[in-house]
Amino acid sequence: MKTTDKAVQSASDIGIGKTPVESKLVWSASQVAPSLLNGGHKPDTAEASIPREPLESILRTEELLKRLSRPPDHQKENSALVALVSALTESPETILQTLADKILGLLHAGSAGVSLLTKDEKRFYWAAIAGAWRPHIGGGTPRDFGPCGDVLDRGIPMLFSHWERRYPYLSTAIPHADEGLLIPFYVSGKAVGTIWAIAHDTDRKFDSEDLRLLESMGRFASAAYQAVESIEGLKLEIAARERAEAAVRQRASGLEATLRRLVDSNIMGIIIWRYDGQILDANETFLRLVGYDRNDLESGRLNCRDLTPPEWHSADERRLEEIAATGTAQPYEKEYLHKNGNRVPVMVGGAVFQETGNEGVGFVVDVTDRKTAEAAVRRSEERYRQAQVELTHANRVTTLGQLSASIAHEVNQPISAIVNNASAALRWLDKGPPDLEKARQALTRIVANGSRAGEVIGRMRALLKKTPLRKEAVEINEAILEVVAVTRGETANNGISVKTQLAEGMPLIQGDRVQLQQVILNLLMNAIEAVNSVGEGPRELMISTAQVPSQSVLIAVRDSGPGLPLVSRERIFDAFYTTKPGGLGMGLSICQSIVEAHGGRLWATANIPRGAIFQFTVAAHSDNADREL
Amino acid sequence: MISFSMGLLLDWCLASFISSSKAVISIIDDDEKFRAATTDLMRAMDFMVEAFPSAAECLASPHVHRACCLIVDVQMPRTSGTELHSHLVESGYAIPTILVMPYPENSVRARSWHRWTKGSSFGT
Repeated sequence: MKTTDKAVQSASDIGIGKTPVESKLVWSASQVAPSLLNGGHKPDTAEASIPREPLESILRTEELLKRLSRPPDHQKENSALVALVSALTESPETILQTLADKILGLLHAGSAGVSLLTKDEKRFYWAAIAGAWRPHIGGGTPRDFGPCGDVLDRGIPMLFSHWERRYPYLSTAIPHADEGLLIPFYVSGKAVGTIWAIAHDTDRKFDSEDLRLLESMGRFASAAYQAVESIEGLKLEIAARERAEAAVRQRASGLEATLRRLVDSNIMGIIIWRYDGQILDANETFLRLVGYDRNDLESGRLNCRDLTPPEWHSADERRLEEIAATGTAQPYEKEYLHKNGNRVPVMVGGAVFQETGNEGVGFVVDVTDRKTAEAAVRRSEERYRQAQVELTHANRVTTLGQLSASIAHEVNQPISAIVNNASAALRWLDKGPPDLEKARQALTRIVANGSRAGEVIGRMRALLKKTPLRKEAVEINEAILEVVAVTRGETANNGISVKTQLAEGMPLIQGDRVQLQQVILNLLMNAIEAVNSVGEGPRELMISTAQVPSQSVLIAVRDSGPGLPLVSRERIFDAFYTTKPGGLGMGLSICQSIVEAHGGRLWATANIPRGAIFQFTVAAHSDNADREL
Repeated sequence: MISFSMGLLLDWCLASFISSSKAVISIIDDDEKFRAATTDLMRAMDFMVEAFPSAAECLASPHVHRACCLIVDVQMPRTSGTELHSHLVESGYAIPTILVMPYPENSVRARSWHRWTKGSSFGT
C-alpha cells in the first residue's frame, strides 16, 4: 500500500497505450485537437500493429516452486475468508472489490484485481482493483490484448516478468509492474476472467505460497460468485457500463464536430503551440491574419516569438507564467507581425493542455477594426479640442472687440493726463520767474502716467496672445484687480459700481494667469450685461475671493441682474447655449473648460436678494507650504 | 493720436465763455490722475480750480454756484457728465460745459449740442 500515494499523484499520466478510448480516462485534448486541425481524421487504435514478443520469454511460472517459500499464515487466510463471507451476506455487489482488497493484503502485493470478460467475450473489463493501480478501475482492454487473454487461453496460473515486452501498453502504467501473478477465474466451470496480483517493488518476488493463497481466494470467489444470484446481473451491469462508455465516445465525437466547426469558422484564429513558442498547428484564419500559408506552418517555420514585435515579448512571457501557474491566460491585447511587415493588433488568450503541460491552445482575434474606430474617436476628440482652442482665442478677440471702447478709454486716460501735465509743465516754466517746483511735479506725474499707459498696453497684449496653458504661480487677487482695471471704463460707462472683497493671505494658485483672467473677464462682462438688462434697482457687481478647504481658492462674481431661471442654470455651461440675442453661447463653455483644466469647478447660484452668483474654484499651488514659512 | 492739445482747446473755449481770469472752473472726473493733471494745467493758466471725483460731490459743494465753467468726464459711475450738465441746466445754472470723452460719440454730441457746450474729442 505504500505506493498508493505515488499512484494517485501520477494518475494523470495513466494513458494506457495509444488507445485513449480504451482507458477509463477521458480522451485528452492533445490527442484529439491536432487531428481536428488537419481534417478531423481520428487516429487508429494501435492494437493490430503491435509486434508480439513470444509468451514464453516473459513467463516465470516455473520459478514459483524453486523460490524459497514462506510458511503459510492460515490464521490470516481464515480471517480473510471470514471477511469475504460477511461481505457476501452484507454487500454481495462489492464482493469482487473485497476480494481484491484481501488478496492485496495476504500477498503483500502492490496492486491486485479481478478482470472479467464482457458478455460478448471480446473484451476484458477491470471489475475490481486494489492498491496502486486502483485508479484504473472500470477500464479494460480487448480480449487478446493483454496477459489476461493468454492466461485464459491456456487455463493455467502464470507468473510474468517484464511483460511490457509483449504487452507494450503496460509500459506506460505507473507504477511499473515488476512481476504479475495471474490465475484464471472460473464460474460454473467456465472461465470468465482472471484474478491477479502485481509486485511493483523489485524486492518482492512471488512464491508458491502466494500462488496457493491466490488460488484459495479464487476458489472462494467462484463459489461466492455463484451464490450471488446470477452472473447475468453483473453482465448487465457491465453492459450498462459499456453503453455509458459508448455514450462518452459519442459525446466526444459530437464535441469534436462542434470544435471542428469552431476551428473552420472565420470567427477567430486558433493555434496549437508549444511552450517554446513553436506553432504546431493553426487554422486558416490565423494563417491569413499573419500572412503565411500551410507550407510555412508544416515546415515548422512559425513561432509565436518570431511573429511578435520585440516590445511585446515581456508581456507574452508574463502570460506564459500565468499559464504555467493557472493553466489559462486571461485574454490580452498585443500585436503580431504580418509577413509583409505590418503590425496586426490582436486579442489573444490561451490554455495549456493539462496532460502534456508544454503544449496549449490559443485563440487570436483580429481587433484592427476596433483599433481603427478608437483612433478615429481619438482624432475627432483632438479636433474638438483644437476647435475649442481656436474658439477660446476667437472668444478672447470678440471680448476684446466688445471692450474696445473701454480699452480706448483706459489707454487715453493716461495719455490725456500726460498731455495736460506736459502743457502745465511748459506753462510753469514759461512763467517769470519759472516755477521749477510746479514743473517738476508735473513731470513726475508724466512719468507715473507713462508707466500706467505701458501697463495697460501690456495687459492687452497678454490677453491677445494665443498661448498654451502655462502653469505658473498666480496671485489671484492681483490678477482680479487687473481685470477690474481693464473693465473699469465699461462699468463706469454703464453706471455700474464694482466692489471687491479680496481675502488676505490667499495662497498662490497654479495655472495660466491670462486664461484665468479671461474667465474673470468673461464673468464680469456677463454680469455687466445682466445688470444692464434691469432698468431699476442698484447697479452693483461684487468680486470676492476666499480660501476653501482642500487647497483651493474660490472666486465669486455677484451681480444684481435678473438672475438665472432654474432651467437655464443647468444649461448655461453647454456649448452653443445662450440667453443673449446674438450670443455665440461659447463664453461660459470656454470658461468651464479653462477652470476644469485648472483642476477646479465653475457653477452658478442665485444671489440674495436678486441677481446671480458665478463662482469657481482653482487648485492652490503646491509650493504654498514653502511660502507660508 | 491726439490731434490738438487740451491747452490750446481750453484757450479757445474759455476765451469764448469767460471774461474774468479770476473765474472758478470746476473739474469733475473720477480718474484721479487725469483730474490732477487737468487741475494743474488750469492753475498754470491762472484759473481758480475746484476739482471733484464725482457729480454728486460737485453738486454738494457750497461753491457750485461760483463755477463759471465745467470740465466734465462723460464716463463716470452713477451720474454721468451729460446728466450732471442737464441737471444743472434744469436747476437754472446754465453753465458752459466742456465734455471730455474718449472718442466722439454722436449720441452724446447730439444730446449736448443745444446746451451751450462743446465736445472735446480725444483719441481720434
